[in-house]
Amino acid sequence: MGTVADDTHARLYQAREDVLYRKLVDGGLVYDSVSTKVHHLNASASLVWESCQQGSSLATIVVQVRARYDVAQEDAESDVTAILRRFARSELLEGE
Amino acid sequence: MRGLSQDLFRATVADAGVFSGLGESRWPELAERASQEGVAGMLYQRCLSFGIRLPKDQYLAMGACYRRTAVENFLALRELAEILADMESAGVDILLMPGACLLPMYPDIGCRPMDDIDLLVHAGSAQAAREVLLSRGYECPPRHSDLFEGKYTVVDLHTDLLNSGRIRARKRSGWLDAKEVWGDCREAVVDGVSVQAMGMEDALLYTAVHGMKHSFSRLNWLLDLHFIMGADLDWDLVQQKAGRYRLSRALAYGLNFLAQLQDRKMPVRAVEHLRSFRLGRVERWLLMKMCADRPYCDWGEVLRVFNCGGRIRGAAFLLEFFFPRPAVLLQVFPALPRALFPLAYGLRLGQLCLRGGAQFIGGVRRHRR
Repeated sequence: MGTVADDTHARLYQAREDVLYRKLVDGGLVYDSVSTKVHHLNASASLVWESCQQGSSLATIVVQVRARYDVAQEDAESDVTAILRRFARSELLEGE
Repeated sequence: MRGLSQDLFRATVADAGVFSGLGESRWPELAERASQEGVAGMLYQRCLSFGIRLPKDQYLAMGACYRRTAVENFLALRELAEILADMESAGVDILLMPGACLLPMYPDIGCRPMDDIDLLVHAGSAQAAREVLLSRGYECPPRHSDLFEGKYTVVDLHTDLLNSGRIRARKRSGWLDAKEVWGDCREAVVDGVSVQAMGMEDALLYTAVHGMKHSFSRLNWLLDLHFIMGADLDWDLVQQKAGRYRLSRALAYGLNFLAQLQDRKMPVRAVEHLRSFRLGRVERWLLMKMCADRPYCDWGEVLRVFNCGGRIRGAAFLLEFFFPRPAVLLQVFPALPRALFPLAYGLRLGQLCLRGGAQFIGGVRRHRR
């Protein structure tokens, strides 16, 4: 399984097409029909997932997160990276 | 009924502002009532949507309930999609009944819990439908041949509506013709699953009767009614069907409950229906008591007596309701061996006395408070 720590900002993070997502008022849930696992996402992870559904780079996702939350660039980058890493670990992204 | 229930209803349908000025001390009571009434998830959703800050304990408890409902509904609906595909392959037509078919009216899938999924099948396809469910690993609990428990959901298979197959005398107090319900069904999409769903007019009548069966003890049945009334209803058809199937009274009861919760106007045709319906004194008193004692009162079925068309028929209904035929009564006491079924009548009598006593004592206590 790949990690995102050494990825460049240019890489596109793409949510797997067969993973179902439902937006909830405090975040969302994703359902991996292959592993039949449901993952709860909090509001920020949900925002990152929605960006991944479009296929976005780390830089783009960070911009979107910062547009929603009042957070410093470095903090946003490290939070988004951690979330992407968890998505990758759960094999929810394409090419992982 | 006024007070907590009314505030909860207002907050869940439109005006979460009703809670914005509440002190933290009232929240435990409200959250507990919301949970008891099946609307904790809906309340949480509305409060967060309105930007209302919840005390930490209630935020955590109601949030957990909301997310649990969302996951359970989500998984149940994925399972439904697979069941429908298998039924289609087996040539079985399926119609989705309320509440699952009403889910799209709610803000999201975390807002309305479902105990089970009710499916209507043609009587001629019932056996094939049972086989499909059994082949998917579903199991029937003892003595329930039309209830199927699976990993993610419980499926209740119906060939008739309003359970008049179980308690036959129910039919005297109103029914819905399954053939006509099939004829008036609509295409719907429930959380991405395409289904044939009960038409809105039938859903209104069905929900009014079903809610009354449970004495509207959970607010979610009244929310169902509220949302259905907000849909594009053909009220002429509603009136016509209600008249034809002796459901005018049941509809009036449901609307009566709703009218007591709403502080805004009901649709004109609903008000007309209520006005056109003269309830007797005893009936009015019972209804008023039921509303006042929500959600602790469970004698909704008793009100059917007034719709049976005479005292003797009413008494016959009560007799069958309290002491149904052995096959149904044995479902109530699944541990009792079949050979000892006469004992079930004694147990039933004891059960009714205990329930009645508990309601009476509870009522006295609440009255004192």
